[in-house]
Amino acid sequence: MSFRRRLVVFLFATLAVLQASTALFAYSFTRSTLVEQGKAQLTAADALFVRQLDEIGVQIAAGVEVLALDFALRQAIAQRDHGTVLSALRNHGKRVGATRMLLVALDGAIEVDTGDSDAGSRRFGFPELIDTAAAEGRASSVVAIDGKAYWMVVVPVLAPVPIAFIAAGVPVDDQLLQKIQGLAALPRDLALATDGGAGRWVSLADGPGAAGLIRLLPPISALLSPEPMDMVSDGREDLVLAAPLATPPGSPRVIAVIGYPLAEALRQYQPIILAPFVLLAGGLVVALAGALLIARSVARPVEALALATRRIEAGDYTPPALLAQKGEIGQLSAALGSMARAISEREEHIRHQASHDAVTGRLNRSAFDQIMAGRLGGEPAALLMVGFVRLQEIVKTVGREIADRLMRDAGERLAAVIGGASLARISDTAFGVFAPGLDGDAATALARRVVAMFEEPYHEGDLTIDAVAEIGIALAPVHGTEGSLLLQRADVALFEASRAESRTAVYEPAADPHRPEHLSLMSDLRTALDHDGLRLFYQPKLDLASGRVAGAEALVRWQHPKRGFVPPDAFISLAEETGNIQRLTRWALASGIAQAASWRARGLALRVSVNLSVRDLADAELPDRVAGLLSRHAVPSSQLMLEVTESAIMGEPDAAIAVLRRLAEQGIALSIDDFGVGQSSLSYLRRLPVRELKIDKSFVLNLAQNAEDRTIVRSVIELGHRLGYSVTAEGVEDEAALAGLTDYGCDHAQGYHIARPLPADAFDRFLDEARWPGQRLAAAS
Amino acid sequence: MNIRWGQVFCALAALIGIAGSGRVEAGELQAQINDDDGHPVADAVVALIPADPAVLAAVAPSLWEPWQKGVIDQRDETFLPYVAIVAQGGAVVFRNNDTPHHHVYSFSPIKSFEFVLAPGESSAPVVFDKPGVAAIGCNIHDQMIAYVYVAETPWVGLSDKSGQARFADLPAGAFTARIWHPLLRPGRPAPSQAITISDTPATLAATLALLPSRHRDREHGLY
Repeated sequence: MSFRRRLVVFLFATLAVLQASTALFAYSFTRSTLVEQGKAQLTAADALFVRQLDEIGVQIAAGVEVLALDFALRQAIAQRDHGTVLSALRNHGKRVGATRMLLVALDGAIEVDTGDSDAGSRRFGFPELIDTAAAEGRASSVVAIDGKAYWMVVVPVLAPVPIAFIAAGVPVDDQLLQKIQGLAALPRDLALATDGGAGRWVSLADGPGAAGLIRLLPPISALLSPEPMDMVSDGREDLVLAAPLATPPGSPRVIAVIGYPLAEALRQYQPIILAPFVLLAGGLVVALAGALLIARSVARPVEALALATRRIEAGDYTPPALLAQKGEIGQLSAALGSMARAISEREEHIRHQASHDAVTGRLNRSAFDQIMAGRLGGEPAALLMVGFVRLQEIVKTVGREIADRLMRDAGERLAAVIGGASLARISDTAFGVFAPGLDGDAATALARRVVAMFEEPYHEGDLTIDAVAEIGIALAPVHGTEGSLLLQRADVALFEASRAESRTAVYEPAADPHRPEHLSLMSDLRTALDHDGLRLFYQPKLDLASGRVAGAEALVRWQHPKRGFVPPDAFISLAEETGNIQRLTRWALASGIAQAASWRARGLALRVSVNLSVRDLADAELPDRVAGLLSRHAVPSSQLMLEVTESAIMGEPDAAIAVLRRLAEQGIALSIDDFGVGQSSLSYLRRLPVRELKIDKSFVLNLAQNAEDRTIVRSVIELGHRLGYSVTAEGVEDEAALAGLTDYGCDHAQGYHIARPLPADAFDRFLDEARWPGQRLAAAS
Repeated sequence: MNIRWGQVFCALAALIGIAGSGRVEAGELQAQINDDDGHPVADAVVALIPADPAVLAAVAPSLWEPWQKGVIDQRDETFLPYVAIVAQGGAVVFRNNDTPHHHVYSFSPIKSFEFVLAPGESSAPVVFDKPGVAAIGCNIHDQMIAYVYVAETPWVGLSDKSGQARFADLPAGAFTARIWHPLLRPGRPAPSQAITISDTPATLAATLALLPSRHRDREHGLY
């Protein structure tokens, strides 16, 4: 039940109980008061009624007395002149209102009767009245004769002594009662009744309001109470007082009855008794209105607050518009309002945190995704991934706080240059710039401006830091129509950019090693490693001084059961990224050393070169494992060479260098692969146990045609020799290069001109038939 | 001192009787009349009727003489006396000694008459030749009542205030004592007693049931 309904019900019930009890009280009080009043009134009225009747009797008697003194009448009586007497009685009777006059002899015999001319010898019916009249000069009493009431008055006829009696019957009828009622201001309910003979009282005369009054009386057999009786009959309720009148023997009993119509009297008070119910009805209306008003002031605000709460729940933090309310509701409303504000602020804060990078204050990756999702679709757009590859190094060098400030500065700088494009920090080291409407050229132009801008180093106090920016660009819709794909492609492009001179690169689908199929490639690679699916090919290393093949570089070849030949570049970098490279290296080492042992068994002293990934250097167990393999295959360490790229060892931690040292201490030679394209410094190299420099093939391929390459190659060879390194040249593809290198004093040469990488058996055949025989063990030792 | 004429006549008659007849008449009677309440009743007539009619026939005329004439005055709207006794054939004269006129009437069966007396006027003698009682009224003044008792015997008397009536010189023998009073209930036989007169004085006691009387009430000043 709602508050409103409860309130209405409560008010109404209270009102109803109150009014009903008031009505009940009013009714019972009024009723008992009326009953008491009625009884008192009845008792008084009854006495008055009887007295009035007596008075009338006295008046009648006085009249009769006077006419009995009429001399002529007396004379006629004395002379027993009955004819005269009869006419005189008729005449005189009218004077007193009598309808019946009798002349009664002293002995009680009727001599003359105006009601019955043939009186005969009947006796007067009420001898007691005669006696009383004789003794007292007059007698009068109410009597009932044949269902009618009379005042029967008897007086003696004095001549001058009593000679007879005159009896006069004056009817006590309805008119007389009406007269009495009017004169004495009696209740209208009055009547005379007599014993009708059938056990019930019958009416002799009725007053003006006595209709039905007699029927209320109890049967004659019941004793009449001297007190007013409360009679209920025929739907009416009356107080009735019945008083017996003195009647002489010979007359049926006569009673005077006065009624007090209680129901009628109560009807006068009906408005008072009904008033509570009218008030109840009115009260109901008022209660409803009041309840509605209260509900308006209580329930409405509560409902509004509930609504406001639901709105807050739904995320609408508009404060509830109830602050004007006073009291608890107002407090609650104010509390709710401030709660909504607090939630709103917190949510705003959280939302900001959720969509912004804490360090730079720029949008974060997910917000960036949303922006791209909102803008991508048909329209061309460019995504620039601005990477700061040196950041890790900077963090290690100057600490994270300064690095954070540097990135914040970078964000500000970027924001200043990109115009209306969206900027977000999408990884530790990279910002993303999403520029709708930009095509490839415009994006490249923008990228170059950014790169140029970051030529200017970051300054903080005395510190000056070069935050070198590299930018990978992916274009929508050609490279993808989804943000995540564009990001991935831009990432790939960023990787490409790190190798480019301009430090920018647009995504090149063909060059992308990170196509989705590569993901399954790794599980296939693991399967191949486990089930001997890989093979090592060997490319001869020619000792230019002796003209013999002194060694071979072991190169992994993978013939995929479904895809066919998989280029090493495709799966080796993938293996590096996915952490599979150490297994691949272990397999290559095991296979390479086994092959060295095999050659050794045939008397060939070929040094096998195995490539190490930078990740292999993190493996502290690598030196022990290599030592184990060598000893297992009884291969001296001098017959194993490990190749590491220049870039792989640059900037590596001491742990990696420690691994290299331990390998070198075992007598294993280290070679710097791809020397010349990296940024290695010779002084750094000097700290490493390097035995060989391997000149990158880009310098060797065009050696015959390119004078500059020749200069570089010669310089490297000379430099290497001076520093005590042996020098190997890769990519030897023609005789001229071979001759040149021989000329320059290069130690070893490798390339298609000598031989392609060959399977082990083919390599053996090559040694047998080619112009460059393999170096024999005896010669080596 | 209210000297009753009856008594005077009685005494005179006795003297005459003794002197005239020479018969020994020495009987005495004393009657005492009371009402129901034991109060003495005045104005009661006691009439002694001899059992032997011969006794009455032998009565000397002198004994009748006192009862031959009676007078009833009208004074102060009252008949006086209240009860007058005459012998059968006696006459009563009505005298108006009052200031207003008075009407005198009787509807009694023994004598019916009616006339008006001016102040100071006396009526002609009204002869009552039948025994009995005649009630006399005045049509002008209802309360005026008098009675004329017409006796058949010379031995008749009225009770005094003390209710006593005395007789002397009665002949010995049996008598019927008839007692009458105006307030006896009408229509009923008058009480009577048998009594014997001898040398020794006799007594007679009678109790009367009387009606309350307007006349008597007036006498007592209660009207």
